[in-house]
Formats: sequence, structure tokens, C-alpha cells
Amino acid sequence: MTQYHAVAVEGVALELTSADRRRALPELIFSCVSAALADAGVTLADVDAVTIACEDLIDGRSLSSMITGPAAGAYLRDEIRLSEDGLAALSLAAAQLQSGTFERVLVAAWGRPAEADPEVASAAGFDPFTTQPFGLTELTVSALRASAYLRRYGATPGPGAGDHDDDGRDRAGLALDGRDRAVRARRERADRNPRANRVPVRSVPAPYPMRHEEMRTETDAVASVVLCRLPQSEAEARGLVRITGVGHATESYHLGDRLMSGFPSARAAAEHALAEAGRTLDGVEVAEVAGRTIWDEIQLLESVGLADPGGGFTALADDPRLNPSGGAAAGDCAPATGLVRFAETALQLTGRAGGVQLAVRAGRAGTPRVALVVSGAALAGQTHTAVVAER
Amino acid sequence: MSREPIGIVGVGQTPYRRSNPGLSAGELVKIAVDEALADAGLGIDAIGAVIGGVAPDALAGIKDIDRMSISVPGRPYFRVNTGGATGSSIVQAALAWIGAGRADTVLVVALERMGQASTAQSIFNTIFDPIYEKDFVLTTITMAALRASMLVKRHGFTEQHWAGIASRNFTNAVDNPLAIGARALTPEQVLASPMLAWPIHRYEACPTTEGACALVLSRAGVIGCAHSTAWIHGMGGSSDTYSMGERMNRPEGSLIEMVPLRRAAEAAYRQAGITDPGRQVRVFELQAPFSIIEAMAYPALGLCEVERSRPFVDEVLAGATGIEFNPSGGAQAVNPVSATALIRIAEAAQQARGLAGARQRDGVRRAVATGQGGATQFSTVCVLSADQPGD
Repeated sequence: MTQYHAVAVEGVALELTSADRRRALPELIFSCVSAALADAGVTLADVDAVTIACEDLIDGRSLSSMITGPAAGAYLRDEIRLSEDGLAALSLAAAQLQSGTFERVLVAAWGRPAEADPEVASAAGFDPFTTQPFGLTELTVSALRASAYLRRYGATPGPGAGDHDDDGRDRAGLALDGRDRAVRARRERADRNPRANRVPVRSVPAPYPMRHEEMRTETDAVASVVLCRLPQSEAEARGLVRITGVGHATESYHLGDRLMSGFPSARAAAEHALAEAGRTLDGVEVAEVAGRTIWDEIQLLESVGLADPGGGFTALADDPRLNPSGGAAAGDCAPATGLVRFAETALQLTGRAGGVQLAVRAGRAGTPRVALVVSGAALAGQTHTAVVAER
Repeated sequence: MSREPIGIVGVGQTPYRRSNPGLSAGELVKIAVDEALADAGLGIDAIGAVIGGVAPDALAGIKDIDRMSISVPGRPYFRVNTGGATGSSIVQAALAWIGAGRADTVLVVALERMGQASTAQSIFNTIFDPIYEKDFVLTTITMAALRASMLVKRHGFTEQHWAGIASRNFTNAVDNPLAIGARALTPEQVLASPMLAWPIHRYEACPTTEGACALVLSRAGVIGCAHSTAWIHGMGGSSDTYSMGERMNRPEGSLIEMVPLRRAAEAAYRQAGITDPGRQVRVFELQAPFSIIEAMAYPALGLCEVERSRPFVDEVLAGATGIEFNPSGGAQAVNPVSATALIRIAEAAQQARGLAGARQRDGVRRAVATGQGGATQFSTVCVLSADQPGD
């Protein structure tokens, strides 16, 4: 039987900034990749291949990896660029290591909304004849999902959405129980996150039925992770984060064919990743899910099984294991999203998450040991990737 | 490369023509995929993952056109985008996926809809730097013309060399029923075609082409011993710096030495045990969209020394090398950007399987396909053989 190589995380880095006029995108990428290499204690000369995730329409030029790939270290070495979420790039890089193709792979993903509006770019992904005329974007689909969620759980946002009765309850009803607390918890976590960007690149009007504070902090985001084959020496392998499970799943392209109040592909991807790792949801000690808005985040938590159906807001508010980084409130831009969440998770597992570090695992003191990361990609979560990481 | 042998067991291609106004992107993909699955003797249920290849979104005019046309609900899916090398990059990704044990069989599909673009070259202008280069009207044609000027100055090439290569390719394409509208051209007819950018004539450049190509790859353990298979013996990839000026004077080689192609070939040959490619490889399918690029590729592929590249072209044109170049007509006959490198692998695979029809060459046990993208920045080399590795 073929034995596949185990994969370890050697280094991670994040750069979440807001329209830094002093640095061009390649400089942001170079800075972040250099930090990841330094974190790993290696140099580019030690890297066999580079696997990246970026989007032409967000980077503002066709085949943008021509200029950004070298900044990520892809000079005279193997490079594959995905037009996908960064977590998918991490998954492919892990496959390159598991298969024995390479010994060390650098993964990087980025998005710079300061130079291009991702919402405008996302509109170009919808069918030009039947869907684009409606003005759909990834954000407006998130709002449609929010409406579908409200309908599914019997709540009606109505004209009073976002208002509160005399008892402080949201008028939208029971499904929104915990909504305000979840928004506050998300914001509070993002404020404690030392890597978070607090100045959004731009302010986008919240589409109905969302509120402004439920959206993301639009951010120039770069993430980089150095992966390697797990060293065979126990002493060298000790303390390294390992990737123990990966899952991918895909839904129909057409929104009308999809469940709009949840993400079945996220569930399938997470189940596969957990099964591969030999874990169950009960063993997950920290989870980061990547959504464009808090509505996406809570629906992901419910879809994956980390929250009860209709209980996503309550779970996000009350369970510190879920998106301790603050999620998209700490800074987000596709397609870096999933790799940003993974980097935050790796920092949690190594006890280096700073102000958002979890100090309790399985009911007792200690840093978490088992993590689940889930992230979606175009079109509006049509595909999802899930990764289980352990230390 | 994976430790367990991996082979191509199914090939499907659409006819390639300038545009397909009567077919949607999904319909083009279905033609190629149905043919590839039938060739493999498999149904879609046997496919463990689907990997899509689409290069710049702007060519199709729709972002992520693969989502509506290639992705298969229920199967892991992601998209690769490395420009003209996209088609070979998805094979690299599939090798890693199978080699990692994530799937026994992977379907790779590349799609090009550039006939939807008003002018492809105006889009290729956007791959260059928006501040320093774009206004010089740099395109893939003018970029190639700069290299051609260097070849004239350094190695004494003449227009007749490139017209000869183009004539050979167009004449070969007549035997390829997928190259719609192919007609044999003499060197004189090539030289009589309009000048696009000195010294490149229209028929020394590739045409605008649409189409889809699909391959089914499986690991040895699931391939029936009677099934005709093109085994992948070696696969290498390398990227270069973006800036042409940085590639002029450096120890690794100049702009016209195609350093990444050389490095990719060295890696692929090493895996395949090739030490003398001129004697050990019968067929080369080259992703050379301009005849001058083909002339540059010969030394990079180890077929001659750089200093001997002009006399080697003389030998090629005289039919004195014993090597068959581009029996299909190559990328000068049809060049659907996203798919072109996959077509090269498909054609090399069919040669190795003895299934290339009228374009089949005698005695092919080993064939090499190249991929080239991003202003000769991304290069891949794939070595295929009728013989299973280890036999």
C-alpha cells in the first residue's frame, strides 16, 4: 500500500492593511511571503515550488500572476496559480507534498480592494444575459441568503429589521436570537486581534436585510504559509502543525438549484476532511469559517454542524472556539479569505494568536490542538474547501 | 512526480475554430468530456475530482466561466490559471492529486472562449504593466517581435527560418481534422502575409481559436492492462521573472534562451531518464504560438546548443533530425489559449498510444509536450510514453 507523506506547517504570515499608498501589491506580497519564510526559519532557496491564489479582476490586470508570482517567490521554480480561494491553493500544495512531488511548498494568496472593487469584479461572474441585469454580486447573494435564512426559520425582517422592542429583542424573531450579541462578539474579537485591519478600504452600503456592522472589514489582504513534508525525526516534528484532513465539494452553478439558507458543499467538504483526519466535530477545539458577512459565517457554522440549525448567531456569540479571530470583521478580501483564516488557525494551534489566543481546550487550560477551517469560493460559495489541522 | 505510475487513459477534443457562435461554453466542454470519458471507458461516477483550466477571464468576457461550464456538482473542483501554460498546469495538479491518494481518476478540462473577445490583443495588452508598458502597445505579438529581433541580431536568423517553421506547421495541420480550415502554406505564402510587427508575419503567429480539451488521468492500479494508455514519465515546470529587461543579462540565460523551459525540461527528463532527447524522443508537440518561439525552444529542450540554434533550424527544415515536430500543426494551427498546452499533451498522448489518425507518426514510443505562458514566463515539459514506467 502506498504511503503518503504527512504535511506540516512550518511558517505563516498575514498582512492585513488598508490602502497603504507607500507599497504596491507586489511589495505587500513580498513582505508577507518574506515574513512567512522567516517564521519557518528557511529561505527561498529551500523552497521547491510556489502555489498561489489570486484573481485577475481583483488584481486589475489579465494574467496578474505574471507580476505577482515572482513577488511570491516564483522565480525559477515551479509555480501553479489558482483562480480560487486561498484554502484551495493550500490543499493543492499539500497534495504536492503528500504525493512526493516536492519537499517544501510556499503558498500565498491575496486580494487588494484598494485598487479594484471586488464587488464589481464579482458581478462579472454571473450569467450576462439572465442574471447580471439584476445587479447580483457576491454581497447581494449573501443578502439573498440572509433573507432565505430568515424565511426558513420563520422570522420576517419586515420594515423593522434591525430595530428592537422594549425588551431589547430584535423584531425579526427567534432566528435572530443572539444576532446583536454575535455582532458584538465578532467585533470585540476583531478588536482584540493584533493582526486585524480596523480601517476598511471602502464602506459599502449594506443590502437588505443586513446591517452595516454585519458586513466585513474590506481589507488589502495577503496571507502566506510555508508547508513541508513532516520531518521523520520526532524531535524535529514536535510542535509543528500538521494537516491531517482535506475535503472539497461543489454545488450547482445556478443559484436557483441551490439551497440558499445553507451550504451543503461546506458540510460535505468538512465531513470529508474530518473523516480523513479521523476526527469528529466534537473534537474540534477551534474553527475558522470564511464568510463575506456574518450571515455567511453563521450559515457556514450551521452547515458544517458547529451550530444548531437556526442557532448560528447564538453559537457565534457564545462559543469562543468559533472564529476567535473575529472572522471577516478582522479584515477580508477574496481570494485570500481562506488562507487568512488558515493562518489565524495555525497561530491558535501554536499559541501565538496574541489577544485572541484561546487558553482552554477540552475544558481545561491549554492551547487548542485540533482545528477546522472552512472556506468557499466563487460563485457565491459554489465550491468549498475544508482543512483539519492538528498539533 | 508520484511514485505510482499515472497515465492518460482518455482524450477528448472539440474541433478548433475561430469562434463557436452556435455552442455555449458548457456545450463545448460536454463534447470534449463525453469523448474523453468514452475513450477511457468510464462514466462520470468514476471521476474523483475535476480540475478546470481557464486563463484570463477577460478573453471570455465572463469571470470564472468554468463555474457554469466545467465544474461538476458533487465532485471536488478547482480552477487553474497560468496563461498559455494553463492546460499543462492542470495536468501537474492532477498528478499531485492522484499521487496524494485523493482520487484514483481525475478529469482535467481546459476551455477557451476567446472568440467572444472583440480583439484578443487588446486584452493581452492588459497583461503588461499599466504604467510603464501598456501605452507602448505591448501585446503578445510585439513581445514576440522583440525576441525575434534579438534572434536576428545574435544568431543570424532570417525571415526564411521562421517562414519555414510556419510552413511545416500549417502543412502538418492539414492532417489534423480538429484544425478547422487548416490549409498548407508554402514559405513564400507565409512571407507574403501581412506584417503584424516586424519581423513577424501573420502566418508566423497563432490564430484566435476557441475549443475545449479534456483528459482522463488514472493511477496504474485502476487501469486495465488492455487499455491503451499514455504513461507520464516526467513532468517539470518553472517560472521566470516578469520583466523582460531583467532577463537580458543574467547568469542563467538571456531573454531568448527560455530559461524556465530549459529548467522544466531538465526536471522532466531527469524523472524520465532521458539523457539525449534528440535521440530518445520521436515526437515533440510544442506550445509555440509563434514560429520564433519554436526556434527558441529547440536549445531549451536540449536538442542543440544555444549557439547552434540557427543551423539546427536549418536541419529541422531539411528533415535531417529524425525528430517529428508538431504533427498536429501545433499552436500555430490552433491556439485556444487556456487549452493549448493541454492539447499539446493530448496530441503527444495520442502519438504515444498510436491513436493519432492521419497525423500519427511511425515508431513513437516516447513523446514530449511543452506548455508556455505569460510572455515566455511559465514553462512546462511533459514526457509521455507507451511504456509503463518500470516495465
